[in-house]
Amino acid sequence: MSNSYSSNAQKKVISTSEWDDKLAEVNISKSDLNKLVMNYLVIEGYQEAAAKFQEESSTQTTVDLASIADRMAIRSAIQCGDVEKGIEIVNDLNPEILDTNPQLYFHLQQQKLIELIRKGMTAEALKFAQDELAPQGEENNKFLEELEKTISLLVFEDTAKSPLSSLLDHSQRQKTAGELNSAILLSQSQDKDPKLPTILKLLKWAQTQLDSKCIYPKITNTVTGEYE
Amino acid sequence: MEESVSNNGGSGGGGNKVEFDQLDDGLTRIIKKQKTCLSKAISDIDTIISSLKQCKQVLSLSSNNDNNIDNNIETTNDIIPKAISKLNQSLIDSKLCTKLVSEHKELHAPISKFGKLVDKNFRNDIEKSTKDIGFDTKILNKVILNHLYRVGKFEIGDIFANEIGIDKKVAISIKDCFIEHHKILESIEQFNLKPVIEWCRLHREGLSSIDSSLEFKLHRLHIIQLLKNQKSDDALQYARDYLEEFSTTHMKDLQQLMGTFLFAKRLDQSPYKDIFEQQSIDDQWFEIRNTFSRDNCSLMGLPQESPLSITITVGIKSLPTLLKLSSFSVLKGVNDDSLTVEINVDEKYKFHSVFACPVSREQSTSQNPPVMLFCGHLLCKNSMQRLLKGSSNRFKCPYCPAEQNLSNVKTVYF
Repeated sequence: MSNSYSSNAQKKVISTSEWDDKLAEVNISKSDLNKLVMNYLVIEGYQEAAAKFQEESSTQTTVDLASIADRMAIRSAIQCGDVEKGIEIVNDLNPEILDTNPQLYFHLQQQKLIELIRKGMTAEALKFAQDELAPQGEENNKFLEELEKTISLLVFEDTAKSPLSSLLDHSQRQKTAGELNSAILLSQSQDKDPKLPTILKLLKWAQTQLDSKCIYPKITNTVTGEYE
Repeated sequence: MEESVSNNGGSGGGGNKVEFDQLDDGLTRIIKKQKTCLSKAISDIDTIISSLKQCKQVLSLSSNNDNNIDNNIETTNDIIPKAISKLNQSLIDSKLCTKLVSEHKELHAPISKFGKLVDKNFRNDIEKSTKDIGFDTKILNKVILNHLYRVGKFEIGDIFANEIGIDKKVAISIKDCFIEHHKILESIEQFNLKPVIEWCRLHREGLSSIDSSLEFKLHRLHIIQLLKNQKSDDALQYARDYLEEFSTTHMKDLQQLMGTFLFAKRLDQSPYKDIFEQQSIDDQWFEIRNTFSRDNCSLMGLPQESPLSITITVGIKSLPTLLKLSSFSVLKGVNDDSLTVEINVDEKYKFHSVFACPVSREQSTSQNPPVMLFCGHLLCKNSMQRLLKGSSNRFKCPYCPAEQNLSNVKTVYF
């Protein structure tokens, strides 16, 4: 692609007015925009905002908005380290989610083990791992490797300073919570990720591609939509 | 079984192989023949015994009949000669004695051949393979003494040291290196890890410098044994006390070891059952023994094998080639300590760098050492002198156009 290395002098220049005219030719329906916003609010778990938006824009959603609260409660429980409570709410919401997803169930149990180790409950942690996790590790090599890594935390006096400290980071809780959240959304026939961030990523990628071909009014602030 | 004492690579080695297969075949033929002869001889002797028994029976019957002559038509005087004559005839007819002799001759043939085969394969003129180089007996004695101490024969070593008149301080310095070494080896033989763990603690810095994994292996084995003896609480406490410091160097192994705790109640049905089998544990003890031996020798700046063992191994490997050379009289007239052919030995027995001149293809010697020219190229001294023109000290490098001056040439020592 020789153009990508060409100097600014050789690039085509598009003026702001010309650019605005071209954008005006593109039609996007208001209902599509509303659906995008609703999709974002539902998936990210903004229950009240979604209810208000549904009321004001008459945008329908296939999801029972009351289930958003459960999903957020589950996510919150996992992120606070209360895995037991998280599992309880999931089973109330839809017991099939964990029954049909052994990897997710293993990761939740693994998170519970991490929480026991974090609290310094060594004997309880080992017993829990032997009774609940070992049988799963026996059937799946990948699980066994993850389990070896987790149980190795028991060796360290100060787990926070160990090479495995990443397992005790908040990001590990978020990762587990995210995996569970995605599984719940999937069970409700929804996307696991909202579409709006994907569109913004696409915008950034398209602008990068365009940079090599011409000079144009580039969006520098995705929040306000301001041009360069 | 390895087929040959010589190595087949290199020049001249092939013809002097000790043909173990031939010897084996010869011996097998003797054994087979001996078995056949034995079974035939037993059968023939059994036939003779049977004939003798029959004759004996006839004779005993006749002596019984002597008491009752009236009922007997033939007298004893007639029966005895007839019975013996019959026995004699049956032995002549069966040709048993002749058979035994001929079979013995048949057995003798492969034995005789085997003798020739042994003579052919095992040379009794080994001394031909060595050049008449003056050998320092003191060095040999020291090598033997080192070997005796190294293998833990301290008493014999002391007697030998006394007999060869070696300086006591020298003998003690050699001996001291190996006393602790053998004490620890003995404790390992008795399945006691404490002394070797303590030794590791004292030599941690040195072991770290040679990237030794001995200490971790010791702790791992101790934990495995505790788990095997169903002392999982003790094993966990031990792991917490000693394993943390190995997290940077042995993380993968540490994780696998900790994984075994998950199945502490049913090790024999776990994914780690292989680790706990007796064969595996025996292998780990053997590995610890070897690793300790290697690491301790390494820290003392000694090879793991004794110099005597190395010398004999390399000697055996070299002998066929040298014998072959001696038959071609190649060694005659060579006065320096170089060899005229390359002898391939295992990498672990290569202790010195070897330089072969790229011009003359000769191997460098103390009389013909490698030299480095000003431009950085190497060749041997003789080749360089051939390049010198007349009495001039200037010459051209054979590899690049650079002009050289004899004063800039340096002798290289490997």
